[in-house]
Amino acid sequence: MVDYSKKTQEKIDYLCKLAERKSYKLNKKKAQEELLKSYDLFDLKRPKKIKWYDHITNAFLDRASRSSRAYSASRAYSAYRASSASTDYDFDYGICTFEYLQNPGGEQPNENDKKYLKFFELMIQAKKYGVGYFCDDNDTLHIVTCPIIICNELGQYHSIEKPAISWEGEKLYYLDGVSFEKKWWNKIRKGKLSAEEVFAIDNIEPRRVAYELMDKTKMKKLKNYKVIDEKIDDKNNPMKIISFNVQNMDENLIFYNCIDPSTDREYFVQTKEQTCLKAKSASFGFDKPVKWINEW
Amino acid sequence: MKCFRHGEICFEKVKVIPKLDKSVTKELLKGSHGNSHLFDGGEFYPEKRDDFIFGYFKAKNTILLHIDHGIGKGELKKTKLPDGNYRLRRQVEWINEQLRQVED
Repeated sequence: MVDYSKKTQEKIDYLCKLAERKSYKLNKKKAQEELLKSYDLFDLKRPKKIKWYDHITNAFLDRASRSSRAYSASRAYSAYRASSASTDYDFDYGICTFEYLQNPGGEQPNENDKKYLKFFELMIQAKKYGVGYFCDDNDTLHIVTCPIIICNELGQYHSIEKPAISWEGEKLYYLDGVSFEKKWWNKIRKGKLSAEEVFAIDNIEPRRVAYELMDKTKMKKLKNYKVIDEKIDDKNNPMKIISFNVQNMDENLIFYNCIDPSTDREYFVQTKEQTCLKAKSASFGFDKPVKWINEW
Repeated sequence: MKCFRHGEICFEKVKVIPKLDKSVTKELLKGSHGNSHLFDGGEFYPEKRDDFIFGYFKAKNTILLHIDHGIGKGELKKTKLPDGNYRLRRQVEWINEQLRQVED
């Protein structure tokens, strides 16, 4: 049963449509005016200068994160830091306020609620005209155009046909929420990655996604491929230790193969151990198998 | 050793927690793509001891929160961690003869 208003549902549908649009025509003049109106709304002085960016650059991130210097400057934090500068980072709060103003119940909305809703509407308009992210610094309003984003049904950045995030100035490639360089994304989506290449990926999440999309018969092409231990874990999922040889290496590579109990995702964790129980415990720094009371 | 596992974090039961400064944040670890392991209730005492141990945790009415790990279908899945003292370990794998932290 839907326990919120039809108008709120229409607002959610509109915002989803906006987020999922496949193209849009950038209108810089209207877009920046919507942002500037938000300064008027809060009786703030409008910034004198406006600078546009055609994708999220490090220069923009530096501006956006001046108030949060503690964060690492690594790329892993970039999306996180940028998200707080997004026009729709407050999506859920905006929707809640919208619904509250439709159906206030006991406590009546005050001027601030109404003001916040006006701000939310300005952000939606700005996004419609092409604003993705913005911040201000030194009397300058910095604006990044809105990227086109493609997600899977789980809401993860994902596309096997196009970049999952694209601006005119930059394209970012994702599969099931995991980012890849274009070269690797292309090989994975075209099924051109060998099993040896998949296991050479040194980060567990991209390795998992690349394996998931790989033709599993390729496993047999691994040199000296062997399953050296098999068990069923406490959650009734299969575990395996596999080993194989790669070119130019004297020792076999060994991987602990397991299923994550919460997501059912299949992982390969590189190990030096020969049994499932030892490999699992060793991956947490134990030298003996431990008793797992519960796992999520 | 008796342990609970929450993704790449192991909660190893211990009798006592060494004297350490309590964390002011509710974040235990940041996973891949900024997916944090958060908690509500309890006290986190960060201390990097080696490649595996990164602190201690006193669980009291603790709920662990993560986008993937736990029960339910909300934006953040929830898990109740039994009350007690724990040493915190993170999962690590051997890559090219070096230990590398797992971030799922």
